[in-house]
Amino acid sequence: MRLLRLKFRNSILLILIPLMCAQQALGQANRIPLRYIDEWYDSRMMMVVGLGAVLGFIASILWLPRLLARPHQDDNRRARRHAFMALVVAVLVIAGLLLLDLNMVAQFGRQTYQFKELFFDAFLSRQTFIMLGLAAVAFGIIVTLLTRLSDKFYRYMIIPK
Amino acid sequence: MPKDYVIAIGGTGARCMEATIHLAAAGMFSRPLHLLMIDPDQNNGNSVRTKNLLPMYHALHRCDQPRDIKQRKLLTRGKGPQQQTVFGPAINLNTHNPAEQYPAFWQDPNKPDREFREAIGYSGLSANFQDFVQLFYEHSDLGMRLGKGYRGRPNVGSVVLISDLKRTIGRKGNGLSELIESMKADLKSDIVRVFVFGSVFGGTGAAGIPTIPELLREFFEENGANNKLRLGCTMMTPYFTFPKADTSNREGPAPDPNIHQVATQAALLHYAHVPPGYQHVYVVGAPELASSKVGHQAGGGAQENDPHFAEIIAAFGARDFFSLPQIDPEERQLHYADATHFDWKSIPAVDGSPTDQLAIKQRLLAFTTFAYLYRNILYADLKDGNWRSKQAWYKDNFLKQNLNLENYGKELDLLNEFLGEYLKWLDSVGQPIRGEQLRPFNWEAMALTGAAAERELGKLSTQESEETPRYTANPYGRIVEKLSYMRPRYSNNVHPVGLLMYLLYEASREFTIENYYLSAAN
Repeated sequence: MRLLRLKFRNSILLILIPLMCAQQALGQANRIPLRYIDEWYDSRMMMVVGLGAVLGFIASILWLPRLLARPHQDDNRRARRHAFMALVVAVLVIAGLLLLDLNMVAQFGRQTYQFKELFFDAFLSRQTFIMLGLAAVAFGIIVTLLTRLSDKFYRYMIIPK
Repeated sequence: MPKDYVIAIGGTGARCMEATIHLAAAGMFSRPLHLLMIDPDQNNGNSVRTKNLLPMYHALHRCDQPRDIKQRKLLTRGKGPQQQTVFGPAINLNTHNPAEQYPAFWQDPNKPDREFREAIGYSGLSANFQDFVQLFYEHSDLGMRLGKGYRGRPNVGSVVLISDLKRTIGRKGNGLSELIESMKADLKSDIVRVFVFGSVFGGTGAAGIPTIPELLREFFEENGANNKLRLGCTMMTPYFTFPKADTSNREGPAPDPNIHQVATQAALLHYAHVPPGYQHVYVVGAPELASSKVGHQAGGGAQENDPHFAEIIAAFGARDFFSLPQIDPEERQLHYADATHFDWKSIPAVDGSPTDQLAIKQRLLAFTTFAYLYRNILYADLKDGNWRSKQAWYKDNFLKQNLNLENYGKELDLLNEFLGEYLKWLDSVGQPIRGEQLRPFNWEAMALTGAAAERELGKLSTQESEETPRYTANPYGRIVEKLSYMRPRYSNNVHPVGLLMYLLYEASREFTIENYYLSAAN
C-alpha cells in the first residue's frame, strides 16, 4: 500500500516538474505582465475556492462509496480512496475551467494573447497553483466535515475519533 | 408479571414446544414462559432437541438488551425506536438464582425397562381382578416396557401417567414440582393460564391431554386456587406418518400409523363424552401427511421426527390463548385451522386481526433475516476485532460507550448456534411443502451458506403480490446502511451481545419492512 502511494506521488511529480521547467524556460520571454496575472488571480480566487467546496459537497453526497454486497475488509480505506479520486477529478475540473476562463478572457491590458502564451504565462503561474491548492483544501474540508457529521458507514474515514 | 405456562406431552408435544421456543425468540410472546415437557420416554429424540435449545435461549435472554430506548432525533428518519423484541420473554427463569433455569423436562426416576404390569401392580391383584384387567389390555400391553413411552396405547398411558405424575409432584428438581410451585406463587395474585400440547393420535399425548387438567384441578382444589386456573390445549391430529413396524424385530407393541385416523376419532369421541375441562381447545392438523424421515421408531433417541408447519400453527394457538383479554371459567371454545395450505394468511392472528397478521409477518421475516445475516454473513467478521473496530456503528454504539465484544466470543458462538438451529428448523418445516406456490418462506434458501446465502438475503420470502422484493441486488449493504445510523440511547446497563442483537435485529426489521413492502400503509 505504501509503495503504491509512493508511486502515485512520484508520478504527480513527474508531471509537475517538466511543466514547471517549461514555464521557467519560457518565463524569460514572458509577455503578460505579472500585475495582470495578479489581478486575474484576485478576481478568480474566491470563486475557485467556492467551486472546490461545491465539488466537495457534490462528491460527498454522490461520489463516495456504497456498501458492497458482502462485508469489506476496510470500508474506511475504500471510502478514502474514493474521496482522493474525487479530489483529483475536482482539481482537474477546476484547472480545466481556469484554462477555459483564460482562453475566453484572452485579453490582458489592451493586448490579446495567444493560447500558448496564456497557457505558459498565466495558467502555469504560481497563482494558478495556489488557487488549485486552496480549492483542494476547501474540497477536503467540506468532504471531511460532511462525512464526519453524517450517518454514513464511512463517517470515520478521515477523522477516526 | 405473571407467567404463562406451557406443558408439552410426548414427542409431538416436544416438537410444538420447540416451535414455541423459536417463536418466543422471534418476539411472538410477551409474558415470561414456564415450560414443562412430559414424556416417559426420557431420551426421546424430539425432546432432546428441544431440551438443547433451552439453555441457549436462556443464556441469550440473559444478555441484557437496551430498555427505554430513544433514537437520536436527527437520525430517526421518521421511524420510532422499538423496544426489545428478540429473546424477550424469560423461559423457566429461576427467580431465586436468575443465572439458572428451572428444569423444563419432567424427570421420572422410574427404570426404563419397567413393564406396565409392574406399574399397576398386576401380580398383586386377585385372580378375578386380573381376569377383569385382561378385558381391557392384551397380554402384550401388560408386558409393554414403558421406557419408550406408551407407543400408541393411550389406554396404557392414561393409567400410568397420572399415577407417575402424582407420585413425583412433590419431588424437588424434577420439573413438575417447580412448575407447580411457580403456579402456586402466581395464583396468589393472578389468574394463571396453562396451555397443553399433545397429539390425539398417539399414546403419550392422547393419554396426557385429559390427565393434566385432572392433575392440576385436583392439586389446586386442595390449595383453594382452582377457580383462578384457565386451561387451553392444542390437540394435534395426524399430520405425519411413518412406515409400519417390522414385525420380526420389535420389542412389544409398536405405534401403527394405519390406525392414526381411527385412534384420533376414538380419542375425540372420548373427549366429547368426557370433556377434559379445557376452556379453549385448538384442533390442528395438516391437509396432507408428511413422511417421517427417520422411518419407524417406537421411541428413544432415534425418534427424532422432522419439524412440521403444523407445530407452528399449534404454537400460535398457545399465543392466541395467552393473548385473550379474558377467559371465563365456564367458557368452552373450539378453534380449528381450516386452510388448505400453509401461508401467511393461514397463521392464526389474535382475533383474526389484519394488524396482528402483519405484525406476525414482520416479526418472523425480520427474525429470519437477522438469523440469516448473522449466521451466514456477519458471524466470522464480528469475531475479528480489527474488522469490528473499523465499523462506524460499532465505534459509536460500543467503543464510545466503553463496550466491547472482545471477551464475549462464547456468547457470539451461542447466538450463532441458536440461530443455526432456527434456520435448520425452518428448513425442515418447509420440507413437506417445498413445491407450493404461496410459500411464506423461501425454503430453498434456508440451508444455503457462503456466497449463495449472501445472494438470497433479500429474497427470504415469497411475495403474495406480483412485486419482487425491493433490494435483491445488495441486501447486505442496505441492512448495514440502516445499522450505520442507529445510535440508540437507553436507560440500563446493557450486555454487549444484547446490544448487538438489538441493533442487528432492528436494522433487519427496518430492512424487512421496506424490502417486502410490509408497512401498515401497504
